[in-house]
Amino acid sequence: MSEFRHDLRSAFDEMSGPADPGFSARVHAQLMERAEERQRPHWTMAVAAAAIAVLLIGTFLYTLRATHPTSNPPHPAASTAASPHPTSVPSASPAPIASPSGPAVPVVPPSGFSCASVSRSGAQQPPVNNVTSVRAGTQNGYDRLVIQFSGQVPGYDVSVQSSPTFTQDPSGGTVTLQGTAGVKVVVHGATGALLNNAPKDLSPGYPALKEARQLGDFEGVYSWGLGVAAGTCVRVTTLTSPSRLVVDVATTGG
Amino acid sequence: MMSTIAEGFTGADVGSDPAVFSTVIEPLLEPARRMATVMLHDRSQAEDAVQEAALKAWRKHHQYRGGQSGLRGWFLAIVANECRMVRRGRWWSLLTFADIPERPAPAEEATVTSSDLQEGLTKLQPDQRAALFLYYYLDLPIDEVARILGVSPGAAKVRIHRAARSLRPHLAEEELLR
Repeated sequence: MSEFRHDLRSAFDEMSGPADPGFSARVHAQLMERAEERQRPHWTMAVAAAAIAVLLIGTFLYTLRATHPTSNPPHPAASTAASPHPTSVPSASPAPIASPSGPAVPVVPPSGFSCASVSRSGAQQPPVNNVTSVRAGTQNGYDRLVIQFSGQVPGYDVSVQSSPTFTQDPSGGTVTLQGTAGVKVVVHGATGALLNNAPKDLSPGYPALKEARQLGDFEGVYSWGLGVAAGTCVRVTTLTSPSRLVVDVATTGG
Repeated sequence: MMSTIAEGFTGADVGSDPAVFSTVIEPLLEPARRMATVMLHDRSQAEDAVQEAALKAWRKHHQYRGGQSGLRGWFLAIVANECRMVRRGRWWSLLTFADIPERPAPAEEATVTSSDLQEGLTKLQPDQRAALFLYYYLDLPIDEVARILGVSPGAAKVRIHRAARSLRPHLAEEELLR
């Protein structure tokens, strides 16, 4: 053994002192006592966690305040029940036309179809439902317009008229669709505000359903006009999961 | 005891029994305590550091895959790391308590031969003292010293050599070998 190493060992011995016989027992005791406890987070982690919590709560409260006022203006119909809005909406209750003017030959509607207006009042439910989709399709014997809602199907009026000219809501301007007659679909308590980029004018050119155009989406009244072949009859049904209002226009009615 | 643990020892052998783990590391506690005292120059802090290191080793013993031969290096590396953390936190306690490290009173006969070495050692960095301690006192191979200190074998060699040189500047090269 070199002299240097010998001296160094002596120095280290002096530094660290004699062996402590009770040491391993103390380590053992502490291990047994604290083995099960979870590692305590450092205080900086506690501070960081508190800061994150404050930030999250702050953001949550801020977004609550920010979204609440802005969610109301596009859907003012939330107060429809308590305010006289419905009377101010001209398209809300168009005079139903008892029978479309046309040939003297009486129209015999196919089974399940009606050539008069159809309406149903909405159940007690949240004032405004969101329209999630509007689409058209054709089947054997009828063409179909489907309006899909996020909640229940609200109250609606479906009226048949002798011309494909409609009044737009709320502008009051008129629009004439393809076809020779019209069907007006008015939903009370719905908005298409979430249908940002969906087309508001469908021109499928089906045998009965020539064109469908959104007439209005204002104060909770959501309406579409259908330009149809003359003398057609409609069948209105609702479907659930998802909620849909289905307007079928018969191709064999007239 | 260590001898009862098979050569292919892994942390999983200890299972979830801290008593078994305590038995496994028991032979390492005295070398660990000495190393920590050498690094920290404070016996009570050294004891605390080893206790804390034992707990940390227990918490991550499931990850250990080194076999029995690597156990000493693994445990001492945790202790060395704990000592570094204690030193990093020490400025606070020094400011607060003006804590004067207690030094063992040197034995009379050893004072003559090693007092200058003692003084030289206190001027070294803790990691340099640890390197010298592991190499000259525990007689560990360079590879294991390197693993414990978390450096490459080459760096460990350089560290040992420089520390020894600073203690004995005029010693012949072969005298520095052990």
